[in-house]
Amino acid sequence: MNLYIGSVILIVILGGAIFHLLRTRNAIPTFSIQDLVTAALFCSLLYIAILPFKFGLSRIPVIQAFFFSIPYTAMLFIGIRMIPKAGTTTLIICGHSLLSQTISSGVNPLWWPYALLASFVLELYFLVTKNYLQTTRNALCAGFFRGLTVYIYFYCFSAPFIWHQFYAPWYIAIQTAQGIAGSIIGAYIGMHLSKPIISAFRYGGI
Amino acid sequence: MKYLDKETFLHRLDPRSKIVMGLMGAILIVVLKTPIALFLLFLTVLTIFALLRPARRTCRTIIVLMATAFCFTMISQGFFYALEPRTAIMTFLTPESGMMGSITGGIALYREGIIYGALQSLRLCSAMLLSAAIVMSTYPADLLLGMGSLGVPERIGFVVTVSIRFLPVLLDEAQRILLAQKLRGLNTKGVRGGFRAFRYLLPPLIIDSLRNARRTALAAEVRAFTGKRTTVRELRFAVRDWVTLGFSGAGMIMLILYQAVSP
Repeated sequence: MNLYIGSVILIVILGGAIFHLLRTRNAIPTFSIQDLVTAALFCSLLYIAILPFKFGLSRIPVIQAFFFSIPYTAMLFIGIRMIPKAGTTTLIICGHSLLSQTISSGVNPLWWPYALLASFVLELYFLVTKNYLQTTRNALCAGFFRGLTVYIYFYCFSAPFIWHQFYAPWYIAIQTAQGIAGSIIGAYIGMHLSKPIISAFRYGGI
Repeated sequence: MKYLDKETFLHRLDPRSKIVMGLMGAILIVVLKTPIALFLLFLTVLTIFALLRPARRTCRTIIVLMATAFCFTMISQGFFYALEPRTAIMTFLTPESGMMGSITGGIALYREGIIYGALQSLRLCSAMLLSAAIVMSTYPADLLLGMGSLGVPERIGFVVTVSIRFLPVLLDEAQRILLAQKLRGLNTKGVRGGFRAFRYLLPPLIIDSLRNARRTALAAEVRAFTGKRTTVRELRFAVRDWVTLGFSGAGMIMLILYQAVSP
Protein backbone atom coordinates (compact mmCIF):
# COMPACT_ATOMS: atom_id res chain seq x y z
CA MET A 1 0.00 0.00 0.00
CA ASN A 2 2.84 2.35 0.94
CA LEU A 3 4.44 1.72 -2.43
CA TYR A 4 1.23 2.67 -4.24
CA ILE A 5 0.74 5.83 -2.17
CA GLY A 6 4.38 6.71 -2.81
CA SER A 7 3.81 6.26 -6.54
CA VAL A 8 0.75 8.55 -6.39
CA ILE A 9 2.83 11.22 -4.62
CA LEU A 10 5.49 10.88 -7.33
CA ILE A 11 2.83 11.34 -10.03
CA VAL A 12 1.56 14.48 -8.27
CA ILE A 13 5.15 15.81 -8.15
CA LEU A 14 5.53 15.02 -11.86
CA GLY A 15 2.31 16.95 -12.55
CA GLY A 16 3.62 19.86 -10.46
CA ALA A 17 6.90 19.86 -12.39
CA ILE A 18 5.01 20.00 -15.70
CA PHE A 19 2.81 22.85 -14.46
CA HIS A 20 5.91 24.74 -13.22
CA LEU A 21 7.66 24.26 -16.57
CA LEU A 22 4.60 25.50 -18.42
CA ARG A 23 4.29 28.55 -16.15
CA THR A 24 7.94 29.53 -16.44
CA ARG A 25 7.67 29.25 -20.22
CA ASN A 26 4.38 31.16 -20.29
CA ALA A 27 2.89 28.23 -22.16
CA ILE A 28 -0.15 27.28 -20.12
CA PRO A 29 -2.47 25.95 -22.81
CA THR A 30 -5.91 27.21 -23.71
CA PHE A 31 -8.20 24.97 -25.68
CA SER A 32 -10.74 26.24 -28.15
CA ILE A 33 -14.08 24.46 -28.50
CA GLN A 34 -12.77 22.89 -31.70
CA ASP A 35 -9.73 21.51 -29.83
CA LEU A 36 -12.00 20.07 -27.14
CA VAL A 37 -14.32 18.46 -29.67
CA THR A 38 -11.35 17.03 -31.59
CA ALA A 39 -9.91 15.63 -28.33
CA ALA A 40 -13.34 14.10 -27.59
CA LEU A 41 -13.31 12.52 -31.03
CA PHE A 42 -9.94 10.92 -30.31
CA CYS A 43 -11.17 9.66 -26.93
CA SER A 44 -13.95 7.83 -28.79
CA LEU A 45 -11.53 6.60 -31.45
CA LEU A 46 -9.20 5.25 -28.73
CA TYR A 47 -12.15 3.44 -27.18
CA ILE A 48 -13.10 1.89 -30.54
CA ALA A 49 -9.49 1.01 -31.38
CA ILE A 50 -9.12 -1.15 -28.29
CA LEU A 51 -12.56 -2.78 -28.46
CA PRO A 52 -11.17 -6.01 -30.02
CA PHE A 53 -8.73 -6.14 -27.11
CA LYS A 54 -11.55 -5.79 -24.59
CA PHE A 55 -13.58 -8.52 -26.26
CA GLY A 56 -10.94 -11.21 -26.43
CA LEU A 57 -7.33 -10.34 -27.15
CA SER A 58 -6.72 -9.37 -23.51
CA ARG A 59 -7.38 -13.00 -22.57
CA ILE A 60 -4.35 -14.17 -24.55
CA PRO A 61 -1.62 -14.57 -21.93
CA VAL A 62 1.98 -13.36 -22.41
CA ILE A 63 1.47 -11.44 -25.69
CA GLN A 64 -1.40 -9.17 -24.60
CA ALA A 65 0.72 -6.06 -24.00
CA PHE A 66 1.97 -6.10 -27.60
CA PHE A 67 -1.51 -6.34 -29.11
CA PHE A 68 -2.90 -3.64 -26.83
CA SER A 69 -0.23 -1.00 -27.31
CA ILE A 70 -0.15 -0.89 -31.14
CA PRO A 71 -3.65 0.49 -31.87
CA TYR A 72 -3.69 2.54 -28.65
CA THR A 73 -0.40 4.34 -29.35
CA ALA A 74 -1.19 4.79 -33.06
CA MET A 75 -4.51 6.46 -32.32
CA LEU A 76 -3.16 8.54 -29.44
CA PHE A 77 -0.28 9.87 -31.52
CA ILE A 78 -2.56 10.80 -34.42
CA GLY A 79 -4.61 12.78 -31.89
CA ILE A 80 -1.55 14.54 -30.49
CA ARG A 81 -0.40 15.39 -34.04
CA MET A 82 -3.79 16.95 -34.72
CA ILE A 83 -3.63 19.23 -31.63
CA PRO A 84 0.11 19.69 -31.02
CA LYS A 85 0.08 21.57 -27.71
CA ALA A 86 0.69 20.94 -24.03
CA GLY A 87 -2.27 19.34 -22.29
CA THR A 88 -3.59 17.45 -25.32
CA THR A 89 -2.09 14.15 -24.16
CA THR A 90 -3.64 14.52 -20.70
CA LEU A 91 -6.98 15.53 -22.18
CA ILE A 92 -7.11 12.54 -24.55
CA ILE A 93 -5.75 9.89 -22.14
CA CYS A 94 -7.75 11.01 -19.10
CA GLY A 95 -10.84 11.65 -21.26
CA HIS A 96 -10.59 8.13 -22.68
CA SER A 97 -10.05 6.66 -19.21
CA LEU A 98 -13.14 8.45 -17.88
CA LEU A 99 -15.12 7.51 -20.97
CA SER A 100 -14.40 3.79 -20.59
CA GLN A 101 -15.05 4.02 -16.84
CA THR A 102 -18.36 5.77 -17.47
CA ILE A 103 -19.71 3.43 -20.10
CA SER A 104 -18.12 0.09 -19.32
CA SER A 105 -15.88 -0.51 -16.33
CA GLY A 106 -17.41 1.74 -13.63
CA VAL A 107 -15.84 4.81 -12.02
CA ASN A 108 -12.82 3.79 -9.94
CA PRO A 109 -10.43 6.58 -8.84
CA LEU A 110 -7.76 4.01 -7.99
CA TRP A 111 -7.09 3.71 -11.73
CA TRP A 112 -6.74 7.46 -12.23
CA PRO A 113 -3.06 7.63 -11.22
CA TYR A 114 -2.35 5.11 -14.00
CA ALA A 115 -3.98 7.38 -16.60
CA LEU A 116 -2.28 10.47 -15.15
CA LEU A 117 1.16 8.83 -15.25
CA ALA A 118 0.65 7.73 -18.87
CA SER A 119 -0.22 11.36 -19.74
CA PHE A 120 2.39 13.14 -17.63
CA VAL A 121 5.31 11.08 -18.94
CA LEU A 122 4.47 12.05 -22.51
CA GLU A 123 3.71 15.68 -21.56
CA LEU A 124 7.09 15.98 -19.85
CA TYR A 125 8.85 14.38 -22.78
CA PHE A 126 7.21 16.79 -25.24
CA LEU A 127 7.97 19.77 -23.01
CA VAL A 128 11.64 18.83 -22.60
CA THR A 129 12.17 18.09 -26.30
CA LYS A 130 9.92 21.04 -27.34
CA ASN A 131 8.65 18.82 -30.12
CA TYR A 132 5.07 17.52 -30.43
CA LEU A 133 5.69 14.49 -32.65
CA GLN A 134 6.96 16.59 -35.53
CA THR A 135 9.60 13.99 -36.43
CA THR A 136 9.46 10.20 -36.62
CA ARG A 137 12.41 9.94 -34.25
CA ASN A 138 10.60 11.99 -31.62
CA ALA A 139 7.51 9.80 -32.01
CA LEU A 140 9.51 6.57 -31.67
CA CYS A 141 11.22 7.88 -28.48
CA ALA A 142 7.84 8.96 -27.08
CA GLY A 143 6.49 5.47 -27.85
CA PHE A 144 9.46 3.96 -26.04
CA PHE A 145 8.87 6.07 -22.90
CA ARG A 146 5.15 5.37 -22.96
CA GLY A 147 5.69 1.60 -23.13
CA LEU A 148 8.39 1.64 -20.48
CA THR A 149 6.57 3.62 -17.81
CA VAL A 150 3.00 2.45 -18.32
CA TYR A 151 3.73 -1.29 -18.18
CA ILE A 152 6.20 -1.09 -15.29
CA TYR A 153 3.68 0.98 -13.34
CA PHE A 154 0.84 -1.41 -14.11
CA TYR A 155 2.67 -4.61 -13.15
CA CYS A 156 4.68 -3.23 -10.21
CA PHE A 157 2.20 -0.80 -8.60
CA SER A 158 -1.40 -0.97 -9.89
CA ALA A 159 -1.98 -4.74 -10.17
CA PRO A 160 -0.35 -5.66 -6.81
CA PHE A 161 -2.21 -2.88 -4.98
CA ILE A 162 -5.66 -2.90 -6.58
CA TRP A 163 -6.02 -6.58 -7.47
CA HIS A 164 -3.46 -8.08 -5.07
CA GLN A 165 -1.91 -9.91 -8.01
CA PHE A 166 1.82 -10.41 -8.18
CA TYR A 167 4.03 -11.12 -11.16
CA ALA A 168 7.54 -12.55 -11.48
CA PRO A 169 10.24 -10.04 -12.49
CA TRP A 170 10.96 -11.95 -15.73
CA TYR A 171 7.26 -11.76 -16.70
CA ILE A 172 7.16 -8.01 -15.99
CA ALA A 173 10.30 -7.64 -18.12
CA ILE A 174 8.69 -9.59 -21.00
CA GLN A 175 5.46 -7.58 -20.80
CA THR A 176 7.34 -4.28 -20.62
CA ALA A 177 9.52 -5.24 -23.58
CA GLN A 178 6.39 -6.10 -25.56
CA GLY A 179 4.72 -2.87 -24.44
CA ILE A 180 7.76 -0.90 -25.62
CA ALA A 181 7.90 -2.77 -28.95
CA GLY A 182 4.14 -2.35 -29.47
CA SER A 183 4.24 1.34 -28.55
CA ILE A 184 7.16 1.99 -30.93
CA ILE A 185 5.36 0.19 -33.78
CA GLY A 186 2.15 2.03 -32.88
CA ALA A 187 4.05 5.34 -32.88
CA TYR A 188 5.41 4.58 -36.34
CA ILE A 189 1.97 3.62 -37.66
CA GLY A 190 0.47 6.72 -36.06
CA MET A 191 3.05 8.97 -37.73
CA HIS A 192 2.54 7.24 -41.07
CA LEU A 193 -1.26 7.41 -40.95
CA SER A 194 -1.41 10.96 -39.63
CA LYS A 195 0.33 12.42 -42.71
CA PRO A 196 -2.63 12.13 -45.13
CA ILE A 197 -5.01 13.16 -42.35
CA ILE A 198 -3.04 16.31 -41.57
CA SER A 199 -2.77 17.11 -45.29
CA ALA A 200 -6.51 16.72 -45.66
CA PHE A 201 -7.02 18.87 -42.56
CA ARG A 202 -4.75 21.63 -43.87
CA TYR A 203 -5.51 21.63 -47.58
CA GLY A 204 -8.62 19.51 -48.04
CA GLY A 205 -11.07 21.90 -46.47
CA ILE A 206 -12.12 19.82 -43.48
CA MET B 1 -22.44 -3.33 -20.53
CA LYS B 2 -25.25 -0.98 -21.51
CA TYR B 3 -27.75 1.15 -19.63
CA LEU B 4 -30.86 -0.89 -18.77
CA ASP B 5 -34.03 1.14 -19.09
CA LYS B 6 -35.85 -0.16 -16.00
CA GLU B 7 -37.40 1.20 -12.83
CA THR B 8 -35.51 -0.60 -10.08
CA PHE B 9 -34.37 0.71 -6.70
CA LEU B 10 -30.84 1.19 -8.06
CA HIS B 11 -32.15 3.20 -11.01
CA ARG B 12 -33.93 5.58 -8.64
CA LEU B 13 -30.78 6.34 -6.63
CA ASP B 14 -28.93 9.60 -7.24
CA PRO B 15 -25.83 9.05 -9.49
CA ARG B 16 -23.66 10.59 -6.75
CA SER B 17 -24.70 7.93 -4.24
CA LYS B 18 -23.81 5.25 -6.79
CA ILE B 19 -20.41 6.86 -7.39
CA VAL B 20 -19.77 6.99 -3.62
CA MET B 21 -20.92 3.36 -3.30
CA GLY B 22 -18.52 2.49 -6.11
CA LEU B 23 -15.72 4.22 -4.18
CA MET B 24 -16.59 2.28 -1.02
CA GLY B 25 -16.50 -0.92 -3.07
CA ALA B 26 -13.11 0.04 -4.52
CA ILE B 27 -11.76 0.68 -0.99
CA LEU B 28 -13.07 -2.69 0.23
CA ILE B 29 -11.65 -4.50 -2.80
CA VAL B 30 -8.21 -3.17 -1.87
CA VAL B 31 -8.43 -3.40 1.93
CA LEU B 32 -10.05 -6.82 2.49
CA LYS B 33 -7.66 -9.74 2.73
CA THR B 34 -9.29 -12.72 4.44
CA PRO B 35 -11.19 -15.26 2.28
CA ILE B 36 -14.44 -14.91 4.28
CA ALA B 37 -14.43 -11.11 4.08
CA LEU B 38 -13.77 -11.27 0.33
CA PHE B 39 -16.54 -13.82 -0.12
CA LEU B 40 -18.98 -11.65 1.89
CA LEU B 41 -18.11 -8.67 -0.30
CA PHE B 42 -18.68 -10.75 -3.42
CA LEU B 43 -22.07 -11.95 -2.13
CA THR B 44 -23.14 -8.38 -1.29
CA VAL B 45 -22.19 -7.11 -4.73
CA LEU B 46 -23.92 -10.09 -6.35
CA THR B 47 -27.11 -9.20 -4.46
CA ILE B 48 -26.85 -5.57 -5.60
CA PHE B 49 -26.42 -6.79 -9.19
CA ALA B 50 -29.41 -9.15 -8.84
CA LEU B 51 -31.57 -6.15 -7.79
CA LEU B 52 -31.26 -4.96 -11.40
CA ARG B 53 -33.07 -8.09 -12.65
CA PRO B 54 -30.75 -8.36 -15.68
CA ALA B 55 -31.66 -10.31 -18.82
CA ARG B 56 -30.50 -13.90 -19.20
CA ARG B 57 -28.11 -12.88 -21.99
CA THR B 58 -26.43 -10.28 -19.76
CA CYS B 59 -26.07 -12.84 -16.97
CA ARG B 60 -24.47 -15.29 -19.41
CA THR B 61 -21.96 -12.64 -20.54
CA ILE B 62 -21.12 -11.76 -16.92
CA ILE B 63 -20.67 -15.45 -16.03
CA VAL B 64 -18.33 -15.99 -19.00
CA LEU B 65 -16.31 -12.89 -18.08
CA MET B 66 -16.08 -13.93 -14.43
CA ALA B 67 -15.13 -17.51 -15.33
CA THR B 68 -12.32 -16.28 -17.61
CA ALA B 69 -11.06 -13.88 -14.92
CA PHE B 70 -11.24 -16.73 -12.39
CA CYS B 71 -9.28 -19.17 -14.60
CA PHE B 72 -6.62 -16.72 -15.73
CA THR B 73 -6.02 -15.35 -12.22
CA MET B 74 -5.67 -18.89 -10.87
CA ILE B 75 -3.22 -19.84 -13.61
CA SER B 76 -1.16 -16.63 -13.46
CA GLN B 77 -0.93 -16.61 -9.66
CA GLY B 78 -0.24 -20.37 -9.73
CA PHE B 79 2.89 -19.58 -11.70
CA PHE B 80 3.95 -16.40 -9.90
CA TYR B 81 3.29 -17.37 -6.28
CA ALA B 82 6.49 -16.49 -4.40
CA LEU B 83 5.59 -17.05 -0.72
CA GLU B 84 6.69 -20.09 1.28
CA PRO B 85 5.60 -22.82 1.86
CA ARG B 86 4.61 -23.70 -1.72
CA THR B 87 4.11 -27.06 -3.38
CA ALA B 88 4.93 -27.46 -7.05
CA ILE B 89 2.24 -29.45 -8.89
CA MET B 90 3.92 -29.22 -12.28
CA THR B 91 7.45 -28.06 -13.10
CA PHE B 92 8.05 -26.60 -16.55
CA LEU B 93 11.57 -25.30 -16.05
CA THR B 94 14.00 -25.92 -13.19
CA PRO B 95 16.47 -23.21 -12.07
CA GLU B 96 19.26 -25.48 -13.27
CA SER B 97 17.92 -25.90 -16.81
CA GLY B 98 20.16 -23.53 -18.76
CA MET B 99 19.98 -19.79 -19.25
CA MET B 100 16.17 -19.54 -19.23
CA GLY B 101 16.09 -21.45 -15.95
CA SER B 102 18.59 -19.13 -14.30
CA ILE B 103 16.85 -15.98 -15.58
CA THR B 104 13.38 -17.03 -14.46
CA GLY B 105 14.48 -18.92 -11.33
CA GLY B 106 12.44 -21.88 -12.62
CA ILE B 107 8.84 -21.99 -13.79
CA ALA B 108 6.38 -24.18 -11.90
CA LEU B 109 2.67 -24.26 -11.12
CA TYR B 110 2.16 -24.04 -7.34
CA ARG B 111 -0.87 -25.38 -5.49
CA GLU B 112 -0.89 -22.51 -2.96
CA GLY B 113 -0.69 -20.05 -5.87
CA ILE B 114 -3.78 -21.53 -7.52
CA ILE B 115 -5.73 -21.18 -4.24
CA TYR B 116 -4.41 -17.62 -3.79
CA GLY B 117 -5.45 -16.81 -7.39
CA ALA B 118 -8.95 -18.22 -6.80
CA LEU B 119 -9.36 -15.99 -3.74
CA GLN B 120 -7.97 -12.91 -5.46
CA SER B 121 -10.27 -13.43 -8.43
CA LEU B 122 -13.14 -12.66 -6.01
CA ARG B 123 -11.80 -9.09 -6.01
CA LEU B 124 -11.90 -8.93 -9.81
CA CYS B 125 -15.39 -10.44 -9.93
CA SER B 126 -16.67 -8.04 -7.23
CA ALA B 127 -15.22 -5.08 -9.15
CA MET B 128 -16.74 -6.37 -12.39
CA LEU B 129 -20.22 -6.84 -10.88
CA LEU B 130 -20.18 -3.52 -9.05
CA SER B 131 -19.17 -1.56 -12.14
CA ALA B 132 -21.75 -3.45 -14.22
CA ALA B 133 -24.43 -2.56 -11.66
CA ILE B 134 -23.48 1.14 -11.75
CA VAL B 135 -23.21 1.33 -15.53
CA MET B 136 -26.45 -0.62 -16.12
CA SER B 137 -28.47 1.48 -13.67
CA THR B 138 -27.20 4.97 -14.52
CA TYR B 139 -27.68 6.87 -17.73
CA PRO B 140 -24.17 8.02 -18.88
CA ALA B 141 -25.20 11.70 -18.92
CA ASP B 142 -26.41 11.40 -15.29
CA LEU B 143 -23.16 9.75 -14.28
CA LEU B 144 -21.25 12.66 -15.82
CA LEU B 145 -23.56 15.12 -14.08
CA GLY B 146 -22.79 13.34 -10.82
CA MET B 147 -19.05 13.39 -11.47
CA GLY B 148 -19.27 17.10 -12.33
CA SER B 149 -20.97 17.90 -9.05
CA LEU B 150 -18.32 15.85 -7.23
CA GLY B 151 -15.54 18.03 -8.67
CA VAL B 152 -14.50 16.61 -12.07
CA PRO B 153 -13.45 19.67 -14.20
CA GLU B 154 -16.14 20.94 -16.57
CA ARG B 155 -13.95 20.74 -19.66
CA ILE B 156 -13.09 17.10 -19.00
CA GLY B 157 -16.81 16.46 -18.42
CA PHE B 158 -17.58 18.18 -21.73
CA VAL B 159 -14.97 16.06 -23.55
CA VAL B 160 -16.42 12.84 -22.11
CA THR B 161 -20.01 13.88 -22.92
CA VAL B 162 -19.12 14.70 -26.51
CA SER B 163 -17.12 11.47 -26.90
CA ILE B 164 -20.08 9.42 -25.71
CA ARG B 165 -22.17 11.11 -28.42
CA PHE B 166 -19.46 10.35 -31.02
CA LEU B 167 -19.29 6.61 -30.28
CA PRO B 168 -22.39 5.33 -32.14
CA VAL B 169 -21.72 7.73 -35.04
CA LEU B 170 -18.14 6.45 -35.34
CA LEU B 171 -19.19 2.80 -35.20
CA ASP B 172 -21.78 3.37 -37.98
CA GLU B 173 -19.27 5.31 -40.02
CA ALA B 174 -16.61 2.60 -39.60
CA GLN B 175 -19.05 -0.09 -40.79
CA ARG B 176 -20.04 2.02 -43.78
CA ILE B 177 -16.41 2.66 -44.80
CA LEU B 178 -15.45 -1.01 -44.34
CA LEU B 179 -18.39 -2.11 -46.48
CA ALA B 180 -17.36 0.35 -49.19
CA GLN B 181 -13.74 -0.91 -49.05
CA LYS B 182 -14.92 -4.54 -49.24
CA LEU B 183 -17.06 -3.72 -52.27
CA ARG B 184 -13.93 -2.30 -53.84
CA GLY B 185 -12.16 -5.63 -53.27
CA LEU B 186 -10.50 -5.29 -49.86
CA ASN B 187 -9.86 -8.68 -48.25
CA THR B 188 -10.34 -8.42 -44.48
CA LYS B 189 -10.07 -12.11 -43.60
CA GLY B 190 -7.39 -13.36 -41.20
CA VAL B 191 -4.85 -11.44 -39.11
CA ARG B 192 -3.23 -9.78 -42.13
CA GLY B 193 -6.65 -8.86 -43.46
CA GLY B 194 -7.48 -7.31 -40.08
CA PHE B 195 -4.38 -5.13 -40.22
CA ARG B 196 -5.13 -4.22 -43.83
CA ALA B 197 -8.69 -3.25 -42.83
CA PHE B 198 -7.29 -1.09 -40.00
CA ARG B 199 -4.99 0.66 -42.47
CA TYR B 200 -7.70 1.37 -45.05
CA LEU B 201 -10.33 2.24 -42.48
CA LEU B 202 -8.51 4.73 -40.29
CA PRO B 203 -7.67 7.72 -42.56
CA PRO B 204 -11.14 8.06 -44.15
CA LEU B 205 -12.81 7.46 -40.78
CA ILE B 206 -10.73 10.12 -39.01
CA ILE B 207 -11.01 12.63 -41.87
CA ASP B 208 -14.78 12.21 -41.99
CA SER B 209 -15.07 12.41 -38.20
CA LEU B 210 -12.93 15.55 -38.10
CA ARG B 211 -15.37 17.10 -40.52
CA ASN B 212 -18.20 16.20 -38.12
CA ALA B 213 -16.18 17.49 -35.15
CA ARG B 214 -15.59 20.79 -36.90
CA ARG B 215 -19.29 21.15 -37.64
CA THR B 216 -20.13 20.43 -33.99
CA ALA B 217 -17.52 22.91 -32.75
CA LEU B 218 -18.76 25.62 -35.12
CA ALA B 219 -22.35 25.03 -34.01
CA ALA B 220 -21.22 25.36 -30.39
CA GLU B 221 -19.12 28.47 -31.02
CA VAL B 222 -21.84 30.38 -32.84
CA ARG B 223 -24.01 29.81 -29.77
CA ALA B 224 -21.22 31.34 -27.62
CA PHE B 225 -20.60 28.03 -25.88
CA THR B 226 -17.48 28.18 -23.69
CA GLY B 227 -17.33 24.69 -22.24
CA LYS B 228 -19.57 25.47 -19.29
CA ARG B 229 -22.92 23.72 -19.37
CA THR B 230 -26.21 24.38 -17.71
CA THR B 231 -28.42 21.36 -17.29
CA VAL B 232 -32.16 20.97 -17.42
CA ARG B 233 -32.01 18.13 -14.91
CA GLU B 234 -30.73 18.89 -11.45
CA LEU B 235 -29.54 16.18 -9.11
CA ARG B 236 -31.22 15.93 -5.75
CA PHE B 237 -30.37 13.71 -2.82
CA ALA B 238 -33.46 11.90 -1.51
CA VAL B 239 -33.98 10.08 1.78
CA ARG B 240 -33.36 6.74 0.05
CA ASP B 241 -29.90 7.99 -0.99
CA TRP B 242 -28.97 8.89 2.58
CA VAL B 243 -30.33 5.56 3.84
CA THR B 244 -28.46 3.57 1.16
CA LEU B 245 -25.24 5.46 1.82
CA GLY B 246 -25.68 4.96 5.57
CA PHE B 247 -26.18 1.21 5.14
CA SER B 248 -23.26 0.94 2.70
CA GLY B 249 -20.96 2.90 5.04
CA ALA B 250 -21.99 0.79 8.02
CA GLY B 251 -21.49 -2.39 5.99
CA MET B 252 -18.05 -1.24 4.91
CA ILE B 253 -16.98 -0.46 8.48
CA MET B 254 -18.39 -3.77 9.74
CA LEU B 255 -16.52 -5.77 7.08
CA ILE B 256 -13.25 -4.01 7.89
CA LEU B 257 -13.80 -4.50 11.64
CA TYR B 258 -14.72 -8.16 11.08
CA GLN B 259 -11.45 -8.64 9.23
CA ALA B 260 -9.51 -6.88 11.98
CA VAL B 261 -10.91 -9.00 14.82
CA SER B 262 -11.12 -12.36 13.00
CA PRO B 263 -8.12 -14.62 13.68
